[in-house]
Formats: sequence, structure tokens, C-alpha cells
Amino acid sequence: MEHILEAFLEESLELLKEASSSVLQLERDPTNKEEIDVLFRAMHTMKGSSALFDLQPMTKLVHAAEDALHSVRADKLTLSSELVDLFLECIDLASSWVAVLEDGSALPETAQEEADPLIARIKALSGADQKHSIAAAPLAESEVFRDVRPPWLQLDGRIADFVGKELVAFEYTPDPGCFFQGDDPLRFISLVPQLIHLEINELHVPGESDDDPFVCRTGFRVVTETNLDTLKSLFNYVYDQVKFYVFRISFARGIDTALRLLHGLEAALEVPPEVGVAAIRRQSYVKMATTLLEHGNFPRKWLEQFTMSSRLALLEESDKQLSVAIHHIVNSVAEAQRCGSNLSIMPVPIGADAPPVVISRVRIPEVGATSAPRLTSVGSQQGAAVASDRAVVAQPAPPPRVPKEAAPRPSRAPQPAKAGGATQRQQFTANSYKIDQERIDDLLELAGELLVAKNALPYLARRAEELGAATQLAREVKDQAAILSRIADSFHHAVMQLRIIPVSHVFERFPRMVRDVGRKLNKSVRLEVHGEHTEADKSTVERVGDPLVHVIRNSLDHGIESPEERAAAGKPAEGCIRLTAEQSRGMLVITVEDDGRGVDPERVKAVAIRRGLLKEEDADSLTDDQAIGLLFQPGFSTSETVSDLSGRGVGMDVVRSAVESYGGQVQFRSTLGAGTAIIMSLPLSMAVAKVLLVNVVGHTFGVPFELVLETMHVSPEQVASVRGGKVVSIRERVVPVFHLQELLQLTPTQPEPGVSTEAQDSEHLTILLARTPAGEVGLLVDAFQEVVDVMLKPLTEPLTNLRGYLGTCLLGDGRALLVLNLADLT
Amino acid sequence: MGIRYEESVAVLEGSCGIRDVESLEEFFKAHKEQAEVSLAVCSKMHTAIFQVLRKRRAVIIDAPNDPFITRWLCPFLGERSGSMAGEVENNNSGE
Repeated sequence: MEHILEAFLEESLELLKEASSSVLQLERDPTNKEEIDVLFRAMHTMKGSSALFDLQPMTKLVHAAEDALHSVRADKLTLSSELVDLFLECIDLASSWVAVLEDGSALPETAQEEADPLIARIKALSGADQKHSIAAAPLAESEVFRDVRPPWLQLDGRIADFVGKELVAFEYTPDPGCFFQGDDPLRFISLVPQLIHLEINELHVPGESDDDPFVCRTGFRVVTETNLDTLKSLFNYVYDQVKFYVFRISFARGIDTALRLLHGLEAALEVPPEVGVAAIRRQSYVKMATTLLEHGNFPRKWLEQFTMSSRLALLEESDKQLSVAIHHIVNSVAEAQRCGSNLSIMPVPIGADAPPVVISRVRIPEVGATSAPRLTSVGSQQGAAVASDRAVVAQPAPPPRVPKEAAPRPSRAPQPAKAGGATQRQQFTANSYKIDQERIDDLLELAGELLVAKNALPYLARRAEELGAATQLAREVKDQAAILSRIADSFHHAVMQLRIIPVSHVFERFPRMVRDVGRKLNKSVRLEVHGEHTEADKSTVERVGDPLVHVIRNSLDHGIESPEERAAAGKPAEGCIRLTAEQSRGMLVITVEDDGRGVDPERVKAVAIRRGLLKEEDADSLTDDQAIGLLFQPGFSTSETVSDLSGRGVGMDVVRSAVESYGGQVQFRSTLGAGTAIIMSLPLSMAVAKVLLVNVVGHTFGVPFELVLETMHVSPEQVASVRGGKVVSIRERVVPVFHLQELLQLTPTQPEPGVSTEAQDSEHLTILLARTPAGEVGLLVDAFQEVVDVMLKPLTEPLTNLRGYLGTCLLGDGRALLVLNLADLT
Repeated sequence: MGIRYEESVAVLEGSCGIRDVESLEEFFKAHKEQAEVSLAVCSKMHTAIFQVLRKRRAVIIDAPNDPFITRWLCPFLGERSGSMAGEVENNNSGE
């Protein structure tokens, strides 16, 4: 994709996002002038940029929106909700086109047909009586001078590269108040294709303070190879501020003089030099011809060619070769002179030709002269002439600006102590990079492996001790392990930081969604967003998106009541959904809270019984929390009418299983009549997990550490049997207990190597108290081992459907470990 | 994105719009001769920002990576410590 188109698309996305958020703000407060300005500027800018590319439908569409906004700004049009809808439709359509263009395709053929009805509706709504209509009132023609070189354009070698081509120059003098119109003149300039000359001038603006940064006092003089039509569409809306010149470059009057000089040199070389001055003569002639080519407004490539061939002549000490080199330029210049007459050299209007060609001051050697011409002053005169030219112009490719001195400066980024030279400094200048995500992921993978490898050391140390190796050695291994552990952790942390993004990436879609869905349901709903700057790993943030969409839709659909219901309940007509993100205990916690009707546990029970999810006789013994927990059962939906928003039977169970598959948890709190809160917590990072190793009949398993509440020994008497199940009483709470061995249907085997053989003694039972979606549970295990950092990998084929396991990982000693999914097991 | 201020260094990040211009003015007023500007990660600057940098003859300590800024705007900036414009003049004289 062309760089310029890429830049346009990137900018358009930002503008559309900005516009969308402004429209939503304006819907709440239609008189907010600031937002109207933001919206207007966005549309205005898009109109200008889209005109550069052949995107007529888009230009016309945003133009229509801009016109309407202009009327709103002038208080001639009220920002009705209908108009707001039209703006949003506009933004949606433009966004869909941007997406298509980003994929590298052209606008759909139907684009204009899609745009036309929308444009017509906007126009109809903004009223036929609009006095201001850019489309209706043709703009004042800007001045176009044909066959006229702009008086300010100094010809030099670079411009001369374009001899014979039609060029367009223009002078753009922005209105001093243009910033308030949403114009950014520099942006227009940056969009000019094939720029070959740019002059930026400070303008004096009478009556304005020099200190006011909101007054535009910058003017531009530009030469480009692009055609007038392109420029006209680019500057369509600042037409009256631009003066165009269309012209071809030809050589200025000095060409005859130059040709005479070169002829003179060529002829002089035919004559043998005086004794001893042959080399000096050659050097002088080369210098003279070079100076002429440098400053005689000739194409640069002539100079380059001559420099090469004349160097060779000097090296070979050959007058003949030099003569050939000069002859070559003579031919070129003569050819240019011949063409020049056909090129219809532009009549320059106001006595503003190129500055006098200084070369005419040089004494031209007569043909056949034997003495070397006095040439030494030519260079300095030319130099002086150029240096006295104060017009500062930017030309292609000056070297990047770096400080010339190596003065030490306060450093912002870590730099080597010796860094000081310009080159070294340059290496450390860029403080942000765009990096392919794959590369970061590779680095993360490596960091993860390093963490796992580091886990091998404690194991080695233990082995060293067990095998009776020197205690000293074991201790040293341990010390090294501690150091390596610290480095590996820091390294991993640093890599993780590369992937950190704020949750706003996901949150920004919700204001619009809440508005649209709310309208569809005839509910007035306000979305409050808090903590959108909370950061987490990219994968966590991205994964939370879909579950959130579902939860918020659920709140809108089932949580928030209709305005009538709310009025009857004494609540304000406008419902509120509060979306909050925060970090807590190493987790990203996202809460969606509404002030709706809340969940009625009795109704949930009734539905559960009807759907066969609950036996009638069990219903009474369920607590309210347990009843609400039924909402997470697959296929549960309390909505009496299935809407197209949610309630298709893919309810909270989908949310729960999605969040749990990422190692997170969903909690549900609800107060009947007051509202519902759904709290999703996900690990801040998906890549590395902490697991507690547990032993069961000779096998080792991992349990996600964030789910572990407590590890304990209890006496067998503390475990009681209730209705065929076992419970343990812990600090006056009754917790169901399961044998992990039974849950996993394990048969005792030879202990795996490295697995503690400590038997479950009959006097104590070892219980792991863990948090699961169904509440706290106790798991009977044989023994606990340490907590380790692991790189958790999801199960792959053919094990993907195996229930009860989150994934696998490698332990430091090379064993594979299965990590349990407690939600599946209990 | 916008402008981040680190003591006497203004770091222009990404696209710097007109809303950043007032803070940039304040920054130059506060730091005067000590003020320095990093353009390394600046991808776009509003005319108003450019005007301030030019008027204040900002000392550019980190060269831009953006080709448009490097090629077309830099020659007009940073005249206070070693004239950028001067470099262009040298170029013109065909060094």
C-alpha cells in the first residue's frame, strides 16, 4: 500500500473514532460547542484528505455531514436525535470503507449508491433553506497563472532536474484564524504528492499578538510535479488562500554565456599548454566547468557525470580526455538551448527572473588562447552569491539533524556512559519502535523457557544433597539458582511489559454499543466507564472483549428495566451501567454493574425446575446465592422472550466457560430490585502461571495458585458424611470434600520419580481448600510440593476435549505436568 | 499521543495536535534556553506546534524518524544550536 494512503487510513480511523465519541457526547448534550467543533474538524479533515485519493463517495458523504455541522455551528440547525443517528450512520459507512481500503481493495462499486440515500437524508434534514451550502455555492476560483514561473522561485540545480516537465507551484497563505476552522495547513502540505520544493515563511499578522499560538502565521511556497487537478481537490476548501502557477522549467538567459565559456575551454585544450602548467590548467578548467554546472541551473546528473569523467582525466593527466568530458557537457547544454526555444520559456511576470548569473563575470577565454584563464575567483564569487541568497528552502534529503556538539545532556533513556558523539547519540534517539507482535511473542516464549529452566536448579540442588554430594556444592548451586531466578524474573517482567496495553482498547467500543442497543430496546441507558487506563497483557485484554460484550448486552436486555418499570419502581428513567477495571491480587478485575431489576432467585429456581436443571425437592434447600449460580448452567436463560441481543440460550455459561478457559473466574452479585454486578477476574498475563504441585497416589498435578485458598491437615473425625457426600467443617463453615483420586479416577501406581512418597497417614488428612465457581471445595490429596512458575500450554489434539485439565507444562526436571481445571472437576 | 514533558525535554509522540500547543508554549516559557525537543517518535505535528518550535528555535536533540518531518520541516527548525537552515544553505552550495 502506498505510504500516503496508509497514513490517510490510519488518520481516518482515528478521526472516525473521535467523531463517533463526539456524536455520542452530543447526543447527551447537543449544545456542547466544543464537541461540535471536534466533530466538524474530523469531518472537514476527512473530506480534505479523501479528496486526494479517488474516493468520491467518501468525500461527498463526509462533505454532507460537514455542511450540516456547519449549520449547527452557525445555530441554523438543531442537532436532533435524527441528525445524530445520521451522523453515526455516516461514520459507520465511512468506517466500513476504511476497513475495505485497509485490506488493499478499492471502494465497493456500490459505494456511491450506498452513500447517496444517506447524503440525501442529511441534506433533507439540514433543510433546503440553508444559506450556507458549500456544494450549492461554488467556491471562488483560486488564481491560476499559466506559463508563469512564480516570482519567488529561485532556479537551482535541483529544480533544473525537472527541465521540460510541467510543474505546479503554489503559494498558500492560510487565513490567520484557520485553526479555528479545523484547518491544519501543514497537514495539507504533507499530503501534496511529489513535492520537490518547500519554503515555509513566517507571516506578519497585523493586530495579533505574536504570542498567540492559535493564530496561523505560517505561509507556504511549494513546487510539485503533481498535476493541478489533484492540488485543486486537495485545497478545495481553502481555495481562496492559494495561488497556483503552472509552468515548465527551461534554462534562463545565462545559457548562451555558459555555452560560450564551455566552448572556450574546449578550444583552449586543443592548444598545447605552456611548459609546467599543464596540470594546473587542467585543474582550473575542471573547477571552472564544475562551478558552472553547480550554479548554472543545470540538471545535477550533468554535474555528476562530469565530476566522474573529469577526475579520470586529471588522474590520467590527459588533456584529450578532459576535452572529451567538456565536449560532452557542451553537447548537453547545446541540446538544452535548442530545446529551450521549443519549451516556450515562461514569461516571468514581475521582473523576477532568476538572479543574475554570476558566471557572466568570468573572463571568457578567446578561442585559441594559450594562457590559462583566471578562474580562481569564480568559486568564491559563486559561493558569495549563493550565501547571500537568504531564502531558506528545504530541499530533498538533508541529513537528519543531530547536535553537532557532543555536549552532555540530561539523559532520558539509558545510554552507555561513553555515549556522547553525534553518531552514538543518534543510535539512542528513537524511544519507541513498532515491533511485529510475533517477535515479541518469540521473546516471551524464550523468557518463559528461561523461567522453566531456572526451576531446574533447585531440583538439581536437592538431587546433589540426596546423592550425598558435598553440601558446599549444593549450597553453591542454590545460591546461583537464586541469582538466576532473580534475573529470569526481571527478564520475564521486562518482556511482559512490551505486551502491556490499557483495557481502553476493548472498552472504547461499548459507549456506542450501549447507545445503539439501548435505543433498540427503547431504554435510556448511561454507560459510566472507570479505570479504562488499567493495564494488562495484550492477550488478556483482547480475550476479555467478547465475554464483556455478552455481559453488557445481558445487562441492557435483562438487567435494566423499561422506563415505565423504572418509573413504577421509583427509579430515574435513565438506567446506568457501570464498567470498571482494576488490578487486584495479580488479576485484572472487570466489573459490570447495573442499577436494574436484579435477579429474582425464586424465578431462577422456577425456570431451572422447568428446564430440568433442578429437582423440585432440592429447590427449597438452595440458598439465594446457589440459585443465582444456576444462571451459569449451560442452556439457562431467564428471558421469557428471546431477543436478538441475548437470551438465545447462550447465556452466562458461555461467559463463564470463556473466562475460566483463560484461567479466570466470574462472580455474580445481585440484589433484587437494586441491580446486578458481574465480576470477571482474569490473570494479568496469560503466559506464565503459578501452580501448586500436589501429589495423589504417586502422580503429581498442578493447581492454579490463584484458586488455592488454604492447605491444611485435618483429623478424620472432622470429615462427616452428608447425603452420600463428604463435608468438612472448617472454622464453622461446612465445605464439601472430594477425593482428588476419585475425581480423576486414578489407580495407585509406582510413584513418579521425584514425587514424595509420604503416605497419607491415617491420623491426618491433607486437604487443599480451593475456590471454584460452585463455591469453596476441599480436595483430599496425599501431599503438597512447592509452588512453581510454569508456561501453561493448552491441551492439543487429540486431548483437546479432555475435561478436567487446563493444560500442560514442563517442570524443571523435565517431567510434563497436567494442570487441573477445578471448575470441570467439582 | 501528544507531548510528554520530561523536565527540560519535550518529547513529541505520534500525532501532536493543536490541543498540545498551549502546554508546549508554557514549556518553552518555563525552560527558556534549557528547553530541548525530541522528535524521534513524532509522526505528525500541527501547524501550530510547528510554529511554536520554529519561533522558539527549539533545540532538537532527537532527530525525527518520520520522512516528511525530516526532509521538509527540520530545515526550518532548531536554529538556536547550530543552524539547521545553514545546513540547507550548504547543501545548496553543492557540498
